[in-house]
Amino acid sequence: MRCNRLAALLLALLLAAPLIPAGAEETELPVPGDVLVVYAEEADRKAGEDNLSAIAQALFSLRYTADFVEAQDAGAVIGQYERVIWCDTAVSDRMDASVLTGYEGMLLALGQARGLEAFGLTAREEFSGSFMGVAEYAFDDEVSFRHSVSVLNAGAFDEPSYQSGVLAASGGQLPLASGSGNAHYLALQDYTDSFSRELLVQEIAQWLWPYDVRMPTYTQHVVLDAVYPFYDPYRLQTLVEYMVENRMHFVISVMPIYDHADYPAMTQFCEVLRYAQANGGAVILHAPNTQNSLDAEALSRQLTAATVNYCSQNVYPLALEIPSEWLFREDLLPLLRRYKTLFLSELDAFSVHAAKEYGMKDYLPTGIQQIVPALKLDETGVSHAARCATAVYLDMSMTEDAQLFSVIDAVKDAPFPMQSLWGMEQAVYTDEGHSLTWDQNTLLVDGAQRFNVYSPTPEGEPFDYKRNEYYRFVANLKNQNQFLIGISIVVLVIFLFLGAQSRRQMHRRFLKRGSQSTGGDQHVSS
Amino acid sequence: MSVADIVSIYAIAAIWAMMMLNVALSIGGYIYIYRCNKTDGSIPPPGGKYPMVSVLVPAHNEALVLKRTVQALLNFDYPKDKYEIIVVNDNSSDNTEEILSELAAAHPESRLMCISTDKVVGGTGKSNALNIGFSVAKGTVIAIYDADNTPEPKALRLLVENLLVDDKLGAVIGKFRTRNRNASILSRFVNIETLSHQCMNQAGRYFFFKLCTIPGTNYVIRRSIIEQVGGWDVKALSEDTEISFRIYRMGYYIKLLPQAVTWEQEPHLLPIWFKQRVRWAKGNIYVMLKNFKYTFDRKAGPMRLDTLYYALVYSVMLTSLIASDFIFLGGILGTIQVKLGGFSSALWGMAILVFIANVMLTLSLERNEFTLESLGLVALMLFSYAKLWVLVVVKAAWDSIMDALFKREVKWDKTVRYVEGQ
Repeated sequence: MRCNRLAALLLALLLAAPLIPAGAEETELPVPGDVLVVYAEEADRKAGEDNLSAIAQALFSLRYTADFVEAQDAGAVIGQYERVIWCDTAVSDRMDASVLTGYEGMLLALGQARGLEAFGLTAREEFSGSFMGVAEYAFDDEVSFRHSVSVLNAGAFDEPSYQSGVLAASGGQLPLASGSGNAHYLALQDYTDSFSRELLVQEIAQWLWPYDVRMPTYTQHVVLDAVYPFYDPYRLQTLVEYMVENRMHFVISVMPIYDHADYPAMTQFCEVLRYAQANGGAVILHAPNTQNSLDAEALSRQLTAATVNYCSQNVYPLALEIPSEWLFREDLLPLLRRYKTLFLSELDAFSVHAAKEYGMKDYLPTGIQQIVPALKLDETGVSHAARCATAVYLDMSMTEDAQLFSVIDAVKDAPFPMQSLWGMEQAVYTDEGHSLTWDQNTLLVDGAQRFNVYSPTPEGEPFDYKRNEYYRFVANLKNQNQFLIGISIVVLVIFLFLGAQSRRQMHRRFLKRGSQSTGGDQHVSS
Repeated sequence: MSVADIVSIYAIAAIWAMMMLNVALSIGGYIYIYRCNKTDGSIPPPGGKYPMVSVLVPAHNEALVLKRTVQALLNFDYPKDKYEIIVVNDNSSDNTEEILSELAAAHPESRLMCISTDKVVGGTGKSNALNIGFSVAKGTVIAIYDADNTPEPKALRLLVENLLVDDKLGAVIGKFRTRNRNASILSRFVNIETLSHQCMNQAGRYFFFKLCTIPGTNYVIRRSIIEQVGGWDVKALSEDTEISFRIYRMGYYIKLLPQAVTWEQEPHLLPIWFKQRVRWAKGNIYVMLKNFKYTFDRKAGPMRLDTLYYALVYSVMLTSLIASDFIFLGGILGTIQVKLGGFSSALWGMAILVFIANVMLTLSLERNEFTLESLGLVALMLFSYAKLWVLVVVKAAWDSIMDALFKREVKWDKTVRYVEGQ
């Protein structure tokens, strides 16, 4: 009886479920990002979009989240944000600055200075209109860079509390970057070249830096990128020895190897890697080449196999290098969270479209170290901003030795700390419970302690590639094929002969018995 | 090398090995039957003294075919006072008993006996019915015929005469043919299969190893052997195969006599055929599992070859055919790619040719069977009828596992008969 009542109650609940108003459900409001980027719906869309993408990449590099909104829609949301970037860089579409009326948060204005008088920023008559100028800016204390830039209705603060760099045009000069109170201003119109993007990173960091003390500088890694075992090991050894001699910390991003980890090319390659990692270098795993669509399970299997293979050779890939698009794939995020350090090979995926579609959320939880590619300010490709951990990638397959050495020298001589990956905690977890951890100077692989020391491997027996085994096997199959065909022909000939014999016997019996039936066939019915 | 490649190699190797084994058996069988065909098979006993024979006919709802069967049995050219016919009317619900009474009344001179059982003592299968019939049998030689058989008049005499020749002969089996071969395309297939795979295979095994398996009908066996083995195994669905193995183990051998012919009604509809074959396959699996241990027992004699042969058929042959069919289908659908080089499609063609030639060789020994029409049927059979064997064995294996898991009682599914045109 009790069961019947309970069943009736459950049935009633099930039937009533569709009647419960949708409004009763708890709606989850999106958490606003760290920064609101306000922009014009402009006619010169491409340039504007590139600027917004540069802002998105700069904010991601500094690990800030952002939301993007057109100026006409900003009034409704601007009050929710403590930081606003006012991107007024369009020639054809003037942004209505009235939405900023009463805004008391931090403001970073980019491009045109019109309409921002309330923040102490005034457009200068001599910089009115659109024209080219020269910007000069020192990212560090040692080197000052000059660059041609485009300017549109630039201005300056009446009473600046901070200014940096110089913008010269039309016979006049302005601070390139300046600040007054909570407001900050960058006088450039275009932020798509390396200089402007580096400037953007530097000044956003400066704008957001809450303290009076000098901002910290972050490490810059030199990365020998996408190194294959079949590359010339002596060339790799030469580069490694050069960096070891110069007491540099460096990274070798190796391509994943799934099979034949015992081949001589691989063991020789790993010999160099072992030497490198024991002398200031660190090995990371490059993302697998995925020509088809990304599949999380397949990637996980590949990374597992590669990690296990390298560890079996006492080479310990401490981190993973990935393309930025992986961060926009929800199904890949669990995979990425198995690593303590991630190198991003590029930031192309951080377009304004992606930012609008997916939101500039915090992709990686706190505790995961992200290292973004350095912006190339000169032919060396070395960054000078150092406001976040960066990597200078050297493509061994493309670059000549002289170029490689010049970049290495530039990184060596740059006024930034060079920290080893072995100087930070590292952790890598893969399928089947495999793990690689470096914590408190203890290296554990699958829970067993290993030591990052190098001792040359004595020359062993010549390796048997077993290359011809498959071909021998196939050749053997061909022989078997011929043999079976031969046997079949013999069998068919025998059958033919026997068949003829039996027909003869049948004929003889028929003649012997005349038309007499053998008895059995009378039973056959149709 | 991919998994598909390895599976392909296994399938090719296994199928060719089994095919070559059958080719060898066919050649041996051919030679044996060819030799037999030179004589009429008769070996009259010294002094013309024939032993008393009890002909047992288990019948469960066989009213449609039984009259014709009994008439054929009454028509044996065996001395009339030397054989009795015992029909075990096994818990039938049709008018089998009535037909038998009429037959007995019409042939008062014959020794026709009918034992009717109810569901308490009967109705549990052929083995039980045979045991009941045997309990009242008076003959020193026991002959078994299924209720749908019409043996040729000389069949019993030839079987008995040959049994008496050698004391080491435990049983002599005859040949069975399809009476209703023209009923449907399925019965045409069954007719060809009966001649090629059953008769020829038996003849080949007898030629090489003196091994034969009792086919369930048209055979004679010594009474003393039945008494020694304690009758037929009531758990066995293939009581014929089961008792064959026990006869081997007793040191006897079994002879095939192709001149002793019976004609029987075969299933002409697929569901009936499928049910019958599943029952046979289940029976064979039971016998294989029961006797496989003897494969490694030297004392078991030549029967070891039979247990091994059964094991190969139900494991290697089955799995290789399944694998090859999967690879074939996967290849067509594009889901499986075999990248293995070395084997040519000519080999595949040769395998088909050998199969067809093998069957045609068997048919060449029979009157009116070696025809172009048969050639076409054999080719068609390869891609249709032969494929059904895999389904039959898979179903039988599944049923056997379920029976074992749930401790289900093994049921005898009777083959449904029909009225043939005269």
